Amino acid sequence: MSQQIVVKRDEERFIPLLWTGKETELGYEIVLAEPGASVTFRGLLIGRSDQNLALDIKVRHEAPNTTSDVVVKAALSDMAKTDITCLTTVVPGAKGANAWLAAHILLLSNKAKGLAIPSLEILENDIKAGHATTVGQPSELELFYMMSRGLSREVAKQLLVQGFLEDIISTFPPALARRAAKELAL
Amino acid sequence: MKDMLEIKNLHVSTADGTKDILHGVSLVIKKGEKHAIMGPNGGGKSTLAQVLMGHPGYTVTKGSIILNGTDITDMPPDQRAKLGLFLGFQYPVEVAGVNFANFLRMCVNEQKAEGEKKVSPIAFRNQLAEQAKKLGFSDELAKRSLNQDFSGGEKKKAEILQLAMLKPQFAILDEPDSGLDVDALRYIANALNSLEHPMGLLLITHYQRILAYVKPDFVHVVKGGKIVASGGPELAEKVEQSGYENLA
Amino acid sequence: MSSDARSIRASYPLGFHKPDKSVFRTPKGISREVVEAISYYKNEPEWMRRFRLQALMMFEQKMMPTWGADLSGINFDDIYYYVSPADRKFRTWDEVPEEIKDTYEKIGIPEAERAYLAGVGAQYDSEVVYHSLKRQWEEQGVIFVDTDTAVQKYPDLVREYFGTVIPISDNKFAALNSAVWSGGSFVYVPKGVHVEIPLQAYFRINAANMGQFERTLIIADEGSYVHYVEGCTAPIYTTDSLHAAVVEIVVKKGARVRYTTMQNWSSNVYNLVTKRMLIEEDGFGEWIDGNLGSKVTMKYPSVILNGRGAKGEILSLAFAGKGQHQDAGGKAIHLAPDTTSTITSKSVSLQGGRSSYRGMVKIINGAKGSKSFVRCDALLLDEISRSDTYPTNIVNEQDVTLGHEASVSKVGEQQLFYLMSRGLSEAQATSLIVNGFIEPIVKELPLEYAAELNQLINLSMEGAIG
Repeated sequence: MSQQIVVKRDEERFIPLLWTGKETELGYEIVLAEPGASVTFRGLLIGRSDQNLALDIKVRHEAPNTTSDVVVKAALSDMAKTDITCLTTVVPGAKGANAWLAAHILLLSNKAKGLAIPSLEILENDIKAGHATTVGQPSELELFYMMSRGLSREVAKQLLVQGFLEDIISTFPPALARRAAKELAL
Repeated sequence: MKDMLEIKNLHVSTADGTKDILHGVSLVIKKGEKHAIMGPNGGGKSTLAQVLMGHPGYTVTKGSIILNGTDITDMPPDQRAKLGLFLGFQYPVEVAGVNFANFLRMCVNEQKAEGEKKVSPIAFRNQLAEQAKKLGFSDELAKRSLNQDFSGGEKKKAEILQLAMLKPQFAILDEPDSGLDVDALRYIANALNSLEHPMGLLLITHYQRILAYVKPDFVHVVKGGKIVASGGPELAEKVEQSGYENLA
Repeated sequence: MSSDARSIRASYPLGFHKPDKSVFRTPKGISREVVEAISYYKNEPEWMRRFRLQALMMFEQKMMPTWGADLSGINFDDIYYYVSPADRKFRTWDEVPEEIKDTYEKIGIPEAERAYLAGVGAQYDSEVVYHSLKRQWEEQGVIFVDTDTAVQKYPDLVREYFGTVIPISDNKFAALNSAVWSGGSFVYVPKGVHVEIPLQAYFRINAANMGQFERTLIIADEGSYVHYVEGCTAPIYTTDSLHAAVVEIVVKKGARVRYTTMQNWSSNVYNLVTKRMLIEEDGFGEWIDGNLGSKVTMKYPSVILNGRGAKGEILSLAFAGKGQHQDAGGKAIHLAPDTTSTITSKSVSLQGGRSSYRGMVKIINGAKGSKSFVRCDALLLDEISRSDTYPTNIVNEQDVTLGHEASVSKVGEQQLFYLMSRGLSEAQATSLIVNGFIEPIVKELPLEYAAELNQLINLSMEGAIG
């Protein structure tokens, strides 16, 4: 059921994902098959009510000088839940690989749940790889600051969520960015 | 009652109840007056500023805050703002991804009464640019994310710019001068002096230097969670010379 | 009792009341009879015998893990599950591999210890030092004995906690250990007592130090403090191929326990250890886990934060050299509000070694105000080695802060060039960089370990880079 994507020599692929609750399972298998191949994946998950998503992303660096930059951000309200699993593999010989994986989850209600497993399998040493995960809720201090300017708590929270997701939305193609903005609209 | 901010016997502790910080602070600020608060670090002056705005980290255990006759002691920050209160933060909070100008425009529009026409983005941009120019700032800040990657001086200027656009009745500025060099300090001071709308000002100072440029009507010293001395501008000079030791 | 057990018993009519003196070994393989014999031989109370048998059933039912390292080389039928201390076969010094002797020489292990570590002589004699410390502990009410003795001398205390932090159903190897365990330490620290000097494993009375199926139980009563240290940076040469130990630690309200392990098992060993701390309100538990040796290590020291304000810290160090797979990391389960966990993992892979970080942070709903930070860094020294990171983060509570960062890299060319331009050889420079890389963990180790570890690294670099 996964989407198979093969990236060729010196090709730069950009993969945007906007999830607003429809699907329950999404998978991507990305292969950086030839030298110079690069993939940028930007995922935005907006979950409400009892929406559930299992997102699985696999990236394989199979050639030298390949780059992967995968960032997934989720904003979950009500009882929404996301399981984000990513596995980035760098095979022997894929020298000069640059692999980055990040998952950031913002929990907006008491019953929202997040699971993140960003994994790396590195079999080539002449590379750079890293990953990061954060899970948390909007900061009280940020909310206070914005409310002190007259914005209600709800509005401040929505602004914060927009801000959190902004750097993902800004990479989306216009139509998708509009859809995302609409989902988050005040 | 009207046109005044009354602080009545305020006792404040940290929200988790572990530490008592203010032990009965009373103060009245009338619209048009400039009050300066000085005091040693850790004496409670910043806490006072934050509590007036409703900071979630503190609890008022006794006393009250009355703004133009309305008790705001238990009100959330946004309601206080709508009633005309403003807090210039000592450490303006960075909020990633939220555009400065858009944010400020929203706040300005929130202040408008029901049925009143909201400011459009373009109109706002113009107003902002004009105001920035008047204060001697570039409006380049407006294009960036709220306080993100702003230098110390830029953050403080941005707070004043927000103040100028929101036009509060009472403004509390928490150490607008800390972390600034002399030039930036003069900038801020000039900006404050050139604000046109009538306002009550409570200025928490770190260095007394700013008081050379923004002349206060009243000066108070907060030490050990209480006001230990009050007077006119000459109190500032006295403190400058003999320090905080000999006051209560 | 079946005929097998009876025949075992019949062969050794004398001596099962005096374990130290007799020669006893169960036949190869595991069975109900073997487990019964072990319990019978140790003269254990009924509840322990029953515990072992239940564990055996669990072991037989449980599947091998489907994740982690390759354990297909373990042949459960080819192992002696119990060998009495006196029956341990020793080898001659000549039989010890050159490289092991060499390492002892180079990292400065005292002569007296070398024989012991290489399985050539009997226990390293530290009697004098041990006795004066022993008196101090007794005065404070601290209990520090081997687990076998504890079962006999302090049955109520043992029974209350044994198997409560790691139940027999936990995993196949915990079940195995629960069935055939022998040796290990039992520590009880009374309320408010601070044990200033670290308790060292080799100070224990019985000789069963390097037991395959050690079972350690540490109970730190309210407000107490103890630091337990085991293992050694020097390579331990053993023919036992499976080391499946269990360490259970109970940290009561306001108590603090630090458990430091340094393992350097020889390259034929499967080192599968289940270690867990149950930490109550305001308690603080620390695991410092160093994995240098073995063929395969699977070890994930865990902290269960079971009371408000509980804190857990896991520092994991792993070196994977030729033919080794270190699959290590840590687990933190937040079950109460205002709990904090920190996991720091540093791994180095070289000469084809494979180092995997496997971790889990789980924060349940209701554990408000919890914080967790994980930092795992890996250094790959050459192109044939491997590094993996498998972190699992499960958050079911909104009011938390969780952060996780990982990086994988090789030794920086700029750094290497800079150091070599000051006259250091490539090996020296690399070893400096590697030592710097692991410094945050090394600084928490007892001095002797730290010094030996640095030496060991220098040696490895010379071997690898030359």
